[in-house]
Amino acid sequence: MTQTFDPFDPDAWTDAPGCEAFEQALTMRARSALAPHAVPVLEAHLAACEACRDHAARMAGLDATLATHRGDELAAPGWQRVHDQLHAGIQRYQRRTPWTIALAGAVGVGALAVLGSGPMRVAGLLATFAVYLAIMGFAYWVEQRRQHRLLDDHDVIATYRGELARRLRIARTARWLWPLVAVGEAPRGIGALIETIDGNGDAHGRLATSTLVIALALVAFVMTLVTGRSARRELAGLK
Amino acid sequence: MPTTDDDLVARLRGATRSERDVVFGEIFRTHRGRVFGVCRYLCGPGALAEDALQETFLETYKGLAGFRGDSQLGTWIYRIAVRTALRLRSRQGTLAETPIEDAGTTVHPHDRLAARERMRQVQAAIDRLPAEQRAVLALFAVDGFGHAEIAGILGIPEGTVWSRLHKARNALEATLAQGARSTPGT
Repeated sequence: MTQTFDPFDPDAWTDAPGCEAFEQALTMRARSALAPHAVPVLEAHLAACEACRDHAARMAGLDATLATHRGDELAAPGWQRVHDQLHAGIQRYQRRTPWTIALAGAVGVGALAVLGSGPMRVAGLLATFAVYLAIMGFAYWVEQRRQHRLLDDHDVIATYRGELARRLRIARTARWLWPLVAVGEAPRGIGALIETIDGNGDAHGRLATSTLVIALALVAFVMTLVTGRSARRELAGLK
Repeated sequence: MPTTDDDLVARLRGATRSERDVVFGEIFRTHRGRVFGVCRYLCGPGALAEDALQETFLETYKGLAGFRGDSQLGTWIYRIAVRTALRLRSRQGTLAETPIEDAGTTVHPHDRLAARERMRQVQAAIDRLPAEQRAVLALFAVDGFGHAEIAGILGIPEGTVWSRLHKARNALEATLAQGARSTPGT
């Protein structure tokens, strides 16, 4: 272990008033990381300071407790089982892309069956499919970006905290958007429903579209609530 | 001679998917022990630590195609581990009650119960620390990490590593001492 860090350098610590520097030096000495020239300084202070001697005794007790705790901590799991489960997880990940496109295709064919096959409806369907792929592409980009951010040299936990706070802010803002979309679409859907009951066959497609929009808005609303709740919980867990 | 991270990164450059899978297997074998150590310290003993371990390596696998070696491989993996373990732990909420492995020793049931209670208290005390302090404590508890490496993993200055470790130990000692005073005889 390198021994280049000087605990008694005033610029070394962000906050080290009074005996704090010596207490921190004790922590470093316990990990064999105290610079050699700092050891006699610490010893001289310990000889003169009862509070720091008490601190050293209490920390020795803590180290003994943590050593017991750690012994159990390092009991290894069954590696073959972990390996097999990880392998299965990787296979699921590799299968995800083809399955996602297949699912999109199935939804598209199903929607075509409901909406009919007029040129405008086919165009609408293709546009929906394109939006779906764009959303999936965006999700993939977000995942890759998060991975690459972990390669950068920054405070990992502060960044994580910042991401969660941003996600919570977006969720709080967006949760009002989806009910508005659903409420905005409702009159058109109700109008199309009344026309369909009256026997107007042309209203069938509009009714299906409105139903789809309202359903998607409600799903998005629930997902936004879940995302916000999860971000709030994670933030609370970080303290 | 054991494979180093630099060797593994060199083999990743221009590798096909099957070659990458082979390198990933070696990465798993090289780092699994220490990643598990970090996860267990942050998640507590039990299934959650194994979930964090698996998710860490799954995230590593996903990111391997885009890994260009600009950062240290080990540093990157342990960053993923810290983040994943903290995320799973915070999502879980309260600590799960987990059995302590019986190593087949002839320990008196009362002693075993006392050890179990003590371990639960330590884990609960660690759990109450802020994430920044927990992460430093976990990385120090796993063999082989120096303070410079821990600073690199967490992306913080070395002085901050020592400062957080010091605060974590102080808080831990105070919590455990308070617990011992409130439950005499344990």
